[in-house]
Amino acid sequence: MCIVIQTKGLFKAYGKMEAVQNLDLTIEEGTVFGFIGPNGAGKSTTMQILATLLKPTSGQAWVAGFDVVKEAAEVRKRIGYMPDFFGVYDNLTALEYLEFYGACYGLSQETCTQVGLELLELVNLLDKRDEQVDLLSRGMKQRLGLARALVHDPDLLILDEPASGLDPRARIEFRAILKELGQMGKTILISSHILPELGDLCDAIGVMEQGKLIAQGSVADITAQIQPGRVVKITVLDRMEEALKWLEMQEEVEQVQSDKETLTVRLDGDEIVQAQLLSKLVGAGFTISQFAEAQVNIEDVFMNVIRSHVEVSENEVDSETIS
Amino acid sequence: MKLIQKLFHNPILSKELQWRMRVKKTPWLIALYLVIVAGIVFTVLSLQDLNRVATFDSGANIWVYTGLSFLNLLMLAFIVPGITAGLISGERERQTLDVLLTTNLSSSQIIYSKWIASLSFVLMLLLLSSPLYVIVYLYGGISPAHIWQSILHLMVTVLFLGSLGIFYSTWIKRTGIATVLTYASVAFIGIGLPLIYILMWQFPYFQVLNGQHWIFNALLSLHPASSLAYVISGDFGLFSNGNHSWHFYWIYIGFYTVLSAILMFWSTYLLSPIRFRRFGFSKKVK
Ligand SMILES: Nc1ncnc2c1ncn2[C@@H]1O[C@H](COP(=O)(O)OP(=O)(O)OP(=O)(O)O)[C@@H](O)[C@H]1O
Ligand SMILES: [Mg+2]
Repeated sequence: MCIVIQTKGLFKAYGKMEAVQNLDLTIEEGTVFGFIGPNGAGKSTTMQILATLLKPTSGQAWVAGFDVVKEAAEVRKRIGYMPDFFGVYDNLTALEYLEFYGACYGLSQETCTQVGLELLELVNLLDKRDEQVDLLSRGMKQRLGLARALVHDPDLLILDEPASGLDPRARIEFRAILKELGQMGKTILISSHILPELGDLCDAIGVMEQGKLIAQGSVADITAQIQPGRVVKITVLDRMEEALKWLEMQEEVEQVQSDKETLTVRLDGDEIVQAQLLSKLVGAGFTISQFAEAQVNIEDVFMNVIRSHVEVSENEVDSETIS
Repeated sequence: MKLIQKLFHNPILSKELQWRMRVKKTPWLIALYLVIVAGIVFTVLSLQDLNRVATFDSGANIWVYTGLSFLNLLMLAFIVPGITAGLISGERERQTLDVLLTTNLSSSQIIYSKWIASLSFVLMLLLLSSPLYVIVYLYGGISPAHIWQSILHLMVTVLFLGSLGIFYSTWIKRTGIATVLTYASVAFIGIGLPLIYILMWQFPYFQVLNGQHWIFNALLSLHPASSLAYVISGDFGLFSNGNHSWHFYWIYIGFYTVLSAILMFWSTYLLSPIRFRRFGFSKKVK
């Protein structure tokens, strides 16, 4: 696997404001990487550095092996960047808009037209090809912006909150397009506030907070990082009370909660422990109708990551003041 | 040849020209320009005709010609800053600059194609006013040298005003402020320099020198009107009393050509997001 994005000790300060602090990031080819974080976390700043629009204060970053500062021209050929806010030119039609950017990448006139039409089709704007871009709706502009980022067929897409301002249906459509692009083998770096959306789109996510990457990995990894062990939902057909007591006595079970029909069990362990618990339960004679790992809401994960991070830093402060 | 081809296949250039031609007010601007210039020239010419029924005075025609050139200069001083001061800051305000900078176009390509695009529009205005020059020429008293010298002078002035506008447009984020600063600089050259000149004559120290100080020469060289008048009407006694050793015209051409080049280069530097450090030493990290 090729590494498409790599940063080492990336640091960006605006005066005293340290927007990105010692960021180490590695993203492999073909990954859809989601960047999550609250407002002002430094997501856009990181993306601008990777898009060669901002010079890092210190540290280094490479895209497809090229240094974003020293080999910016090479990097630009390989990325499609969509800023969080962007404008369009007036007096241009949707097709002309794409043709213009095609020409900016040095494509010939015919190629521009052909690529333009293909991309308009990809983002479902073919019927708007002759409309003025400045008169398109926000969602349409957003989709056109994505098409524009694709004119030169880049390997890496850097999309800064591409779904902002879209209605729910447009969001689903947008996500479908991104999934399609992901399947085409493009590496995508996407930032968002809307966490559940990133969850099933991304292969990996990175959580940023106050300029620091506080967690990175697959959604499952991060879940594990926050709450070691796993949560299993068990439905027994009868002897509910007995099952509850039995579970509480097991060594690997940390906590059991019961509501009407299901028992929610927090386990200290991995898949194997989970499987062993099931066979023990069956062995103990309980009739199990359902036994499944609970779906963790990515929103909860996110809040947990941030909360635990804040707690950790508060602890640090405490221990510092004590010593 | 290849360079020219590359220059004109530039997407920004063609889009910009296309855009200007699509804007509805463009034909009006062209028409207005021609009406004003032609109106004044014909008025002056007909007034002259009335005055010189008896004697044909081709010497006076040179003043009509000079006036026409000055008029063109004045119009350009109003038009060019208006067109160029929004070229880069306009992209910034429209939030299209970032995207443009991530394309294969280098910042120098962006600057130069915008510069050429806006100046070709201005040059077209000049070209459209050229029949007036021919008419004045036909009245006699003007040599071909006068014609090409004033054309070169106009071109250099246009190029300079264009690069000045682009420079402010790149340096200042807001189009409004960039426009004001550009006009202010133009006003300084057009009005400020003569004012300084007049003020200096008020000092006894300079009066004794009788205009023989280098500052007088510099002021006259850097002003578009005096430098142009130097070649056109130099033989007609305007500057003959001063014994000026400087060739105002060529100093003007040289100075503003170099200044334009510096401004363009500087703009390119300011525009590139990751500024090159070809000059000076980069800090070594310990
Ligand atoms: N041009 C700038 N000048 C000064 N400070 C800036 C600039 N751009 C960003 N910042 C600061 O850097 C920090 C990070 O900003 P950034 O835009 O990267 O955050 P973000 O994660 O993209 O936030 P959001 O989710 O709101 O888009 C913020 O505190 C912001 O105030
Ligand atoms: Mg942002």
